[in-house]
Amino acid sequence: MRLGVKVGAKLEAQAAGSQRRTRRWRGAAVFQPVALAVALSASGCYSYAYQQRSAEGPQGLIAIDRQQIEQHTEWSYFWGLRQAEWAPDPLTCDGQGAGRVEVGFRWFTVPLMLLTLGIAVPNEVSVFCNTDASPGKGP
Amino acid sequence: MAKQPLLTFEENKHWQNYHRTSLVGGTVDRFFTPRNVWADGSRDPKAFLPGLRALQEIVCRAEAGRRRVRAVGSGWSLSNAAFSEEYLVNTCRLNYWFVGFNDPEMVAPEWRTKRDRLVFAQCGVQIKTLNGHLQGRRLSLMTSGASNGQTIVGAMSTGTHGSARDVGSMQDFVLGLHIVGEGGKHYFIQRKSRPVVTDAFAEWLDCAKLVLDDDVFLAAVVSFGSFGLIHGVLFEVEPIYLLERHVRRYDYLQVVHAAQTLDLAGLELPHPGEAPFHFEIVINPYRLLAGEKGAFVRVLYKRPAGAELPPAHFSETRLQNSEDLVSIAGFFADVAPSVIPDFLQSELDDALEVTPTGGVIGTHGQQFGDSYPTGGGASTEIGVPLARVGDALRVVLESAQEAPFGAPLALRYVKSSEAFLAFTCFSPVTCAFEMPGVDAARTRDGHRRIWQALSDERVPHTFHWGQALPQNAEWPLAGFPDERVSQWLAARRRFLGPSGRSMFQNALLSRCGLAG
Repeated sequence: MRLGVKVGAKLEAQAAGSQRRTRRWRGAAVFQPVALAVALSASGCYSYAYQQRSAEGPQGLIAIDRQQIEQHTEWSYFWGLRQAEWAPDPLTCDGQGAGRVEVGFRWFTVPLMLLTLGIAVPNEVSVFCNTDASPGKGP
Repeated sequence: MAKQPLLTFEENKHWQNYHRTSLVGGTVDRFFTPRNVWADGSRDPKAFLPGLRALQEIVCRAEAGRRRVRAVGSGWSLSNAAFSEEYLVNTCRLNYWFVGFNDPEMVAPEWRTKRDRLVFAQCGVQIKTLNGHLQGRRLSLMTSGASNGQTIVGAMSTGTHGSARDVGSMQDFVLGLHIVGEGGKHYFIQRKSRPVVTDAFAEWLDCAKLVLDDDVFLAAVVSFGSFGLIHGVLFEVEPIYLLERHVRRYDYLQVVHAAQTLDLAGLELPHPGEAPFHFEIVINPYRLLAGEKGAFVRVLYKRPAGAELPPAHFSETRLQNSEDLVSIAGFFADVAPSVIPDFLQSELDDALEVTPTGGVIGTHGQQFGDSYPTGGGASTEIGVPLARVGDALRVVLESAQEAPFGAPLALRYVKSSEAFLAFTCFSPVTCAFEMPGVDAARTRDGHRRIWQALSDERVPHTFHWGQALPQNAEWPLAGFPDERVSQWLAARRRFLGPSGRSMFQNALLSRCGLAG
């Protein structure tokens, strides 16, 4: 009887442990996709920026238009064996060229990289026009 | 056939300000970008002309469609002063400017000897552009804000200031305004009591109508777009000078007397008896006890520039806080306010590094250089008469301590401005209380508590138009002395008809009782 109780208790304990593990697994099953989704979407925040300096005076960061930004996606293929090389249309910035360029992941960059095993990797390019100007001819 | 300007627009654009403040901006019906280029891609011998024509066309379209229109420069305002949800004009590409007049006939006789120091700049020219190129010509702006990314018109229109006790704010060195008003007609406005240019210059500006009127000038110069689309401004610059910067750390109690009186003797600054060009106190509201070193004093002394200017100093790379990081900081400020005092102190230690004994010398452009978007900033700035700084200091610090929020308190001292709606209106010196911080619910609550406490304590105060302010018909205007508000309204009525007043208003103007 005592043995039975012990065995019963052991079985109950095993069952409870199993339930806890099941709950843990269920919790993990819910948590993992959420964590993965957060990690993948947050990876869209990675970005790098280049900004030109003024050649004049304090040589600070050049004046740019932050209101009207030209954005597009460039692609790299086959683990970087084919890469995008891109030069902006001079008319985009009224002939003044880019003052700042940001390159960053899109929200779907990492998922796509994983899905395609790195065969297709998109990046977002943002171009901010240079608006610096030397003084012109006055009257 | 007359050439058409190149004018593009985006529909239903979501517009945000530079600092991505959560309650600023929104969806815009049409977001125009005028340029100094004709539609066929060519330029004009008068480089500004296509841009001017584009502004005129936008106004005519707005008028025909009964739409409200407003212009935005770099979008540095932390309020909706520049914002309109109907038509919004991006002025950044309008970057023509010149220094000095060749033709003396275009300048009033009393200004002819100084005509090489007169600058005309289109609305989109940024302060950093002016600083850079003026320095090369051994000239300098008389004052500016703490940084350099604003456009000249955006900075002037909202009353941007430094802490130049002898100069005032940026609008105070402006001498004339070129404005596109109703019907696309354009005007060059200057004071009747202080004319700078003649009809010949107005004619050169594509036959602008010359308006000589002190009240219209003083009203329009700080009007955040309410008098029309400002195409350009004329202002005076001065021969280049250097600024010697010193930063010292103190206990709060050591700076209180100087904050209230501008008697700097007790601070033991490096040049006793010399009034600094710029004087500023930054306080951590949560580090006020002896030994906590919660106050920072920044002074700049004006020095003559020699033949050689100081070399530029800069670092090649930096890591910038993303919008997400600032939002996270705002979130933590809301849920764990106990971290705020230490966080603030470490931020101030970094931002206000104590200078070596001899100070740091630099040009105006070097001392007030680049800054970066906060990715989620909010700030309020309040003008107080010097005589009431003690009361205001007590009220602001008590309110801040009631429920800490992530913002230091910066005090800057500015000569009173004659512009009717300049928030630096208290004579002889206005003390500007600024609390730049993280955009969080706690910060916004803190602002409201401070505004209410100042009102309850009857401390006269005004609000910077480009920062968070209470938006109702009484409060923002109540602090202005004398007849300034009625003079502003009367001048606007004189300059604009009913349709113009309606076209060049926005929600902030209506809420503050300035639309009529």
